[in-house]
This record gives sequence, C-alpha cells and structure tokens, in this order.
Amino acid sequence: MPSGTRLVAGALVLVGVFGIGMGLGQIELPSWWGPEGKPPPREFPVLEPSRPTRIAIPSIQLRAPVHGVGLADDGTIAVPAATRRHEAGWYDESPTPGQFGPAIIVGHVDTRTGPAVFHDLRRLRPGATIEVTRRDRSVAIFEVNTVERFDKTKLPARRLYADFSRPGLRLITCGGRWVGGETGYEDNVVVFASLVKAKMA
Amino acid sequence: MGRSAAALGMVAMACLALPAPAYADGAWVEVNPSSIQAGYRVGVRGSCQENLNDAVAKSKAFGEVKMAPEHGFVVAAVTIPTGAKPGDYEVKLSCANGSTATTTMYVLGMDHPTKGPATGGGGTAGGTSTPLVLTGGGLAAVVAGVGLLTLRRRRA
Repeated sequence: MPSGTRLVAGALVLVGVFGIGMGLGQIELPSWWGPEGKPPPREFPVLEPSRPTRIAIPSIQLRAPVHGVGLADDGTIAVPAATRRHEAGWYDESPTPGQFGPAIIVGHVDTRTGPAVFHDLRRLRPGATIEVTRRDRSVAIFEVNTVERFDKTKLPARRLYADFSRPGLRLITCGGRWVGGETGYEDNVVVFASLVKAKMA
Repeated sequence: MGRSAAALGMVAMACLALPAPAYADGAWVEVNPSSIQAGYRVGVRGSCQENLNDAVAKSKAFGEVKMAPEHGFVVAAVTIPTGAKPGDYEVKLSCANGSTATTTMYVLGMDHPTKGPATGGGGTAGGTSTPLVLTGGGLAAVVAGVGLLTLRRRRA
C-alpha cells in the first residue's frame, strides 16, 4: 500500500480545505451572525436639494446613471424599464441625497437578459462608501450602516422612510428565493447608509 | 443624539455653503430637519440679537407659531399638517424689535409602500446552495483524506 494512497489522501485534504474556503467565503451569513453594522456618524453635512444624476460604489465596481422614478400602479416604488437595467431610479418624492431624510434609490438585480445594476448589492459590507453625484455637481458621500433582507410584502416602513434625523440613503433591490410569477424574488435587499461627507465633483 | 448632532452638522457644513441660516439685522432662523415629511414635527430655532422676548415664526406650511426664549435662542416645535402640499416653503422669523429673517423648508409627500419594488426579473441572483455544497463537500473530503492517512499509519 504504497505512496499512492498517501497521494490520494493528501489531494483529498487539499481539495477539501480549498472547498471549505470557497464555500465559507460565499455563504450569506444570517443577520444575527454577520458584522454588527457600522453606526452612523455623529457629525455630518446637510446639502441643499439637488437631484441625483450618478451613483458609484467602488467596492463592488458599480457606476451607473440615476433617473427619477415615481410610483407604479400597484403603489410600490416604480423601477427603471427593463431596457434601462443598467440605470438606477431615485424615488422622486423622497429627499434628494444629502438632504435630511432617507433618499431612496432602487435598481434591478437582474432582468431576463442578465445581471443588472444592483446585482452585487448584497455583497456590500458595513463601512463601504457610496458616492452619489448630483445635478449641482456636488458629490454626496455615504457610508453603509447595514445590508439587510426583508420579505417583499413586509418592508419595515418606519426604518425605510421615517428617519429624518440625518441625511440617509436606502438602496433597494431584489433578493432571496426566486418564486417567479407576479412576485419574482421573495425578498428585497436593502442597504441602509448615512451621509458622512460632501465634495464638489 | 438628534438635535445636537444635527446642530453640529449644520456648523460643519458651513464650509460647503449649504443651508446656512439667513441673516438680516443679525437675526437668523433655521428649521431642523430642513426637509421633512408632511405630518412630522420640526424644530424652529432662531436669534433676534437679544433673545429675551418672544418672537413669531410664520410659514404657509404651518401657519404661525410663537417662539420662546431658551438658552440664548428663540425656539419652537411645530408639526407640519398632514395636508401640507409637497414643496418649498419660506419660514419667516419676526422679532419683537422688528428685525426679520427667513429660511427655506422642504416638505415632502412620500408614500410609504410596505410592498417592495419589482427589482428582479431573471431569477439569476437567488440564494443558491452552492456555498453550502462546497463547504460540506470540502469537509467530507478532508475527513476522508485524514481518515485514509490514519488508517494507513495504523496498518503500517
């Protein structure tokens, strides 16, 4: 029983460790396990209103134009047309990014033709930077507090829309299990972020 | 946290020339938060040089409120009526000594849908079980490998 067995055993261990590493790296940890989230800053700027034009998230190589969206017929926030899947939509009744209150930006995770603008949103981690360029050429710089997932029919309205204590940002896309039909994905992925800085573009 | 942090923020942002309180005769007024949902409460704070007398704040959004002296400012808290139309509103401070100041308040008319937007159409982003399979498979392989080695040692 020669070195053949040893070789096989060694290979098994190597491949196994590699597999575990790969697997653990991709696992989406439940919210009670994951990092605590980064608290919002004690001090922050406040900007005059100006509509968002672009969004950039360096840590997931995201850069996209932003246009205004209203409400859909069913009362939900409308989303960019499937043909504009690489654009994000700012809910035009919400504050502009940098004003007091939660600015809301939605985007597709994917469409029938492939991945879309917010495909990698769920990979965002607390502390990551989100830059929103505005029509007045200022850039509002937000920091991610938490990335969470909610049942699509039970979004936490207060946490999403009612915090006017500071300038905030909510990025919303789809996630969770695909059920198809009218529902699509079962959940919404929501990124909660707070304004930390502002600069001129 | 809320008020003092926001006040600090108001100071910090002065360098960017953002919603700075309006000055006239040394009087100024600010609304915090300066953008707000109809139906919510805001704080109005201002100064009339010597803040020993009551002052008045007026706006088409909330009508007229009395501002009382407090800690060297004149202050008031007011709820924006739920019926207030979204838009920009002037808020005007009128002091007892006749000086005035204005600022702008932005009233929003956001809906609060608890049903999420339809932001997916492809089904490619779902929570797959690949990571779990990888981890489990890897674990099994390691156990098998180590098992093989120990078995071999024992026989030898």
